[in-house]
Amino acid sequence: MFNFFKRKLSNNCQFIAPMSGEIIALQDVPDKVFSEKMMGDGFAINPSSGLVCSPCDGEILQIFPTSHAIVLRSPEGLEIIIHIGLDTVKLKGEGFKRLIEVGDHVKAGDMLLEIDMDYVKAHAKSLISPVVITNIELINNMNIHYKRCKIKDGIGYVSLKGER
Amino acid sequence: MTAVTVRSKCGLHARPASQFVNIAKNYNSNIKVIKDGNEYDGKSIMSIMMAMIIEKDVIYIHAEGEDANLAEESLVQFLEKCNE
Repeated sequence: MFNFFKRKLSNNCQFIAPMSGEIIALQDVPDKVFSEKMMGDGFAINPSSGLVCSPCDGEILQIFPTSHAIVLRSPEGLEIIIHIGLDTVKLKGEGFKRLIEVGDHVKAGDMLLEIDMDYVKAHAKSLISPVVITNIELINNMNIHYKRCKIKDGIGYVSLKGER
Repeated sequence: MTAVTVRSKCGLHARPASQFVNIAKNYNSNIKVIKDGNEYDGKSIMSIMMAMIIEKDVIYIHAEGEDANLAEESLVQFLEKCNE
């Protein structure tokens, strides 16, 4: 019985809000790469402030030189891209301050980035920030609550396939 | 194996990387992208993003399989056109 519960628990990856704002469906992101799930599945956040924290525990696999996107691997093996804003690659790093480095192990809620909201708002297409799991073959089910939230609020979980 | 110089101004970031992987997935061949001697899986969005391919990088596309020539051709064509 105990084992049963243990296994169940380790098969879910809990997510907290990486920013304050409104959690929205990936389908509602005004960029086809994300809305058509070309990169994978997940959710997005329309942020109301510029602090970004890790949505789950994990290791930082990659930070783009422009600091607008971070790749994270959760302990369950989910590979997650946190992409701040849309078309923000064009800002070439301006407006983004990174608070972590590649190889760092982070806990859910650890701060990753600080965004100059006014600058990014003025220079990018949108502040809407997708959080995408690229290895969707691991996902059994996503249970994300679309709502207004504060940074670090629980927003749901992703359940993984199979036993691990 | 075909060499190609990347033109995409911001490199193979989200959109071009997704497009590249989607083209690669149309082929049965095993597709590798080689940059600085490191190999990346041409059919994995994460692998391509990890390669951090930027403008003016010379990369190699190496396909192996029955449709290898076609695969290399269309991927190189995509990279030569992609100037986003």
